Parts: sequence; C-alpha cells; structure tokens
Amino acid sequence: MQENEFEKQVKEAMEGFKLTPSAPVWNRIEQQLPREKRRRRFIVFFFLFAGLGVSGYFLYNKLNNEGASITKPETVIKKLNSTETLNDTKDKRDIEKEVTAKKITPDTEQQQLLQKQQVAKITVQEQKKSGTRVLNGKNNQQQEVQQTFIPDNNEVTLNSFNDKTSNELPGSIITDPALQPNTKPAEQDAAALEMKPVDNIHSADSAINEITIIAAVQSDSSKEILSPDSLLTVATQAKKETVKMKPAQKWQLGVTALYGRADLVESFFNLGSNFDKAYDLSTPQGNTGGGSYIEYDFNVSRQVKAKNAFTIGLAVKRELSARSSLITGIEYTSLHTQIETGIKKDTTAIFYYNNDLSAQRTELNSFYRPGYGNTYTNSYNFIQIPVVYEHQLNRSHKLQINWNAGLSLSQLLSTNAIVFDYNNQAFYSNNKLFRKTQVDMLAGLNMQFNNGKHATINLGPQFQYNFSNLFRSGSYGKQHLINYGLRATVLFKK
Amino acid sequence: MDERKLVKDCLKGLPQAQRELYDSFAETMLGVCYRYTKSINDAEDVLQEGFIKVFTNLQQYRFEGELGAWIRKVMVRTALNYLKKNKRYSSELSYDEISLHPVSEENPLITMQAKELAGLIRQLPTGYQAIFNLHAIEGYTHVEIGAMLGIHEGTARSQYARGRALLVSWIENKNAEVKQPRYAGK
Repeated sequence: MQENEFEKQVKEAMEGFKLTPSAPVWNRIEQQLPREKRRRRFIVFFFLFAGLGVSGYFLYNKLNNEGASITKPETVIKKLNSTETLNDTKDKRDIEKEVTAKKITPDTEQQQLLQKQQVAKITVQEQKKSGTRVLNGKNNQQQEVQQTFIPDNNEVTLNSFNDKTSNELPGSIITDPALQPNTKPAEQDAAALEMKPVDNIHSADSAINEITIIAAVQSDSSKEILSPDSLLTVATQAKKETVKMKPAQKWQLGVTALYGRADLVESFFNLGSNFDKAYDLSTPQGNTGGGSYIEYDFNVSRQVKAKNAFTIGLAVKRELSARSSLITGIEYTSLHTQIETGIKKDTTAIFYYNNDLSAQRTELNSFYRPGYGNTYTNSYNFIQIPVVYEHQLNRSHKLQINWNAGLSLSQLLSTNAIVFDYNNQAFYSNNKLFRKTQVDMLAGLNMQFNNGKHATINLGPQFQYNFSNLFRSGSYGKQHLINYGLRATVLFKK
Repeated sequence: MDERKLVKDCLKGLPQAQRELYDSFAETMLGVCYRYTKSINDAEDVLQEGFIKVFTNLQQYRFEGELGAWIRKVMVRTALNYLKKNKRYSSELSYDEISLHPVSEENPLITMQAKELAGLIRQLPTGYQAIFNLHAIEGYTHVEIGAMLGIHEGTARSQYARGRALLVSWIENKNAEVKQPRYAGK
C-alpha cells in the first residue's frame, strides 16, 4: 500500500512536469520532416511517364499489326505536264476491277506496235521482310518492267500482288490500255511517277518496301501521253502495297559508359543537403571512449563524402516508335565514397553486429575507431541490368534531345566498405551487412548525334538512385547509394 | 483543437499543422525525455528524434486513445533506444556497489517541486532510472519492462526496488534539508 502511495505521488508530481525546449530543436525537426506532397508528386510523375511508355508501346504494336492489312487507295499521280489528283468515282471503280483482273494477252499486232511505241517504264521493286525479291528482274535489286500501255479498247492485263489465285507472280508485267499511237521512245522525254508511302506494312509477308513507277514518255509535243486510267491503275496498284519505305532499325546494339560521382544519402529528399554532414562532423555526440577516441551516435552516411563512379556496359536499344524507345543491357558499375575515421586498430576483435547484441558476430583482424585523421575509400562493385524508356523531346533528326527514365536491377559483386557500428564505436568491414540485390531508379537527359551512317552517339547527364537500403538491417539507418555523371552511349546501325 | 483534423493535416505534410502539433506536446514530452536522460541536451536530442518518429509514423496512430498518450509512448521508446545506443543503459544495469539506504517505513512526502523530483530521478544510475520511470510513472509492469529492455522480469523487479529505495532516501534527505533551515531560523 505504501509502495503504491509513493508511486502515485511521484506520478502525480511528474504528470504536470513540463520543460520548454530551445528553438533549434524545432528547426532540426523541421528539416527532417517528410515532405509528403513532393514525394507523391514524384511518384505520380514517375508512374505517369511509365504508363505512357507502356501504353505507347502497346499502341504502336497494335497499329503496326493493323497496318499490315490496311490499304488505302490514295493515289497521287504526277503527270507529264501537270499534277493532279485522280479520284473520280469511275477511276476508283476501275481500280477495284483491275486489281483483281486476269491477265489477257494482247494480240501480236498490237504488241509489236506498242513495243515500238514504248512510252513508259515501270520499275517495281518488291522487298519482303525476308529480303529483296526480284519479280521479273533484269537487275539484281531493281526490276524494270517495260510497261506497255494499250489503247482503251484493249483488254487489260494486271496482277494483284495479293491475288493468291493468280498464277502470275506479283509484280509481273502489267499492261494497261493507255498508250497513244504517236508517242516516242522513252529516252527523249520522261516523267517520273513516284508515290510516297502512307502506311508501313513491313510486317506483312507481301509488303512492298519500295515501288517506283517511272513513266518514261516519248512525246512530240508537251501534251499528255499517258492516259489517266492506265496510270491510275498502275499507281493505285502500287499504292495499295505501300511505297518507298526504308527498312526499320528496330534493334541497335552499342556500348555505354558513365563517369561521375557516387554518394550515400539517407533518402531521396535529402539529396544535395549538407546539413546533416556538417552538423555531425562538428558536434560529435557522446563521450570520449576511454580518452582514446570520440564516441559518435549518428548515421554513417552523414559522414560520407562523394567520390568517383564509373559504369561500362553493353546497350541494346529497341525502337518503339519514331520518338520513343526502350533501352536495356548489362553494365558493370563501380561506386566509391570516402569516409573519415579515427585511428586504425590492428588487433583481433569480435563484434556483435546489427547493434542488437545478439548472436550475430564477426571476428576481425582490424577496425577503425571513429574520429578524424584517416580517410578510407569505400568501393561498391555492381553488375546491373537497366531497363530504360527513352523519349525524344524535340523533332529534329540531326540533333535529338531525349529524356529517359527507368529501373535497374543490380547485384552487389563485392565491396570493401567499412560500416560504423555505434554499439561498438568502430568502423569495420563486414559483407554480411549489405543487401546484395538492389533496385535502382535511373533518369537522365541526352543529346543524340546522328552524324554517322554507322553509329549514333548519345551524350548527357544521368542520375541513379538506389531504392533499396544498402544494409539488410535497419540498425544502420537508411542508406541509399546514388550516382550521377555524364553518360555516353554509342549505338551501331546495322 | 481538433486532434483528428490536426493529425490528418500532419499526414498531408502541412507545415502549419506539424508546428501546431509540436507546440501542443513539446513541453510535456521534453519533461518525459528529461527524466530518462542525464542532461537537457540529451533530452532535446531524444525529443527531436522522437518527434521525427511521431511525424513519420503518424499513420500508425488509429485514433484509439489520446494522441498525447501515443506520442508519450513514442518518446519513451525513443529514450530507451537512445540509452541503448549510448551504451549507458547496458553498462550501468549491474550497479551493485551502490550503498542503499533502508526503505523508510513511512511514505516520504513529496513536498518538493516537480523539477527537483525529476532531478533526483535523473541522478539514479541509468538502469535504475529507466526502470523507475517505466514502472512508477509510465505504469508498465515488470514483465513488460523486461521485454522492452531485454532483461529478465526478476532483474527488472530487483533493479526497480533498488532504484526506488535510493530515490526514497534522497527525497527524505532533501526534505530534511528543507526543514532544517526553518527550525534553525526559529
């Protein structure tokens, strides 16, 4: 009873006991408070861009697949003397008919006449995904088919490129009744009909990468020689198969390297803040440990100074669209930081690590006491696989400006880093303390120089932040590796 | 002051709300920290660390019980961690050489000011000090104290008895000192 009475009195006396803290306390708290809004904003932006990248990729693939089966009979024909668009209803109907028309051989007389009155050449080049196919080629890569245009009253010979029932190969002689009897050889006058692609259909088996129709026309006068019907037929046929498309550089291989600085931070939001470091260096907390060293009670990352960092590796770039791409590869990264310590003790010692005095212990031959006078360089060697989404910010082809963001999975290969154990007041190396597998965030900007036929060079600043705590145990506080510097990537064209 | 709104605003990261919460509890909590430490600087360090924990873990407060009680628990645990980190607690738990005064048969009347009493508590060896604070003032049982400090329940109990005896004797002496000059004056 007496015991309870005493405790009751003490408790009552202490309930109202208050002390006013000094002003710097709040200032120090304020600087370490979480900034929820900024963090959320960052996360929102990160996932927004990541979402855009992923959706863009799928959209691209979807359109790409659909594009293989879509043909648009848009036809623009550059005529000999004038440029006009043929789009009247009759012509369109003719096109539809002629696309599926069967070949009917003109009679010999007409053929002979028409051969003399050669007025046009149609060059058709067809290239499949698997390579270039010569249709009726005299040359290796380009076939020039002498196109004889037949008067309107003759029957038309035409092959549909996609007509599976036809016995003719796609791109074989196309005959059109469009020839005027008084035309001259092609060498004297010529007009080129060239159609530009509107769709990329490279994924289709029957895709034609380039079709160039050249109508070489001989004419005494500057009058029109080719009949619109014939040209429209040929042109539309070609148009359906898409015209002139360069082979896409889907994959690019290259090498990459980064040189910069590495540092340890407590969190992403403490980047660039030197307050903690300055504070702890100037005001060691605790007592002198037997007079031989100064005791500290702080997170070791606050005492770390940035040192050099470098990365080398192989890069693979996959184009997702004209302005976006995905980059991955494999890289070796070596990060270095410097830490200040006191005297080195070359004596055998057993330390219980993780600051919990549990059974986890390590036996050492040397360790460092906290303090000043010695500097030690910590090295961390990683191998990592980054996956980065890159998007072009401008529309220039000569000098592209890109931003990129992504994630990286990295594995700690080796480290000689010493860790401050405040329970034992010692710095020592113990690989068991480190989290071996890390997840990193990458972001950066770069300029891409397309100044060579064989390679592109990307150059720009890059930043990498280690999401994972460097240590397995939370006893050492939150410590995250960062590195930043100038990254150069050379991607080779096939 | 609507505590619920204050907590929600703090969770949003509003600086004004954070400052308001700090102002509301800082003085009381510094009093708590003061009892567990040996100097006002240490107490302020614990207070600082404790409030950072409060703000970073405020989402764990489920509005069950008073906010002040929850913050107090955070402060007490922070103080214990602080003692552990500084090795003060573990190194001084085995204080056996202290000469203990016999426990008084009567309750010493605590006529002294709260600050004086807090000062006496702080003069206890660190181990005794922590256990006394935890049991006598915070109300933890010896089983709970044993779990919190990683010691056996019996150890906590005996350490408490010794600390209490020491404190009672100091209070008695202090009271005697206060009374003597009055009589001398008469």
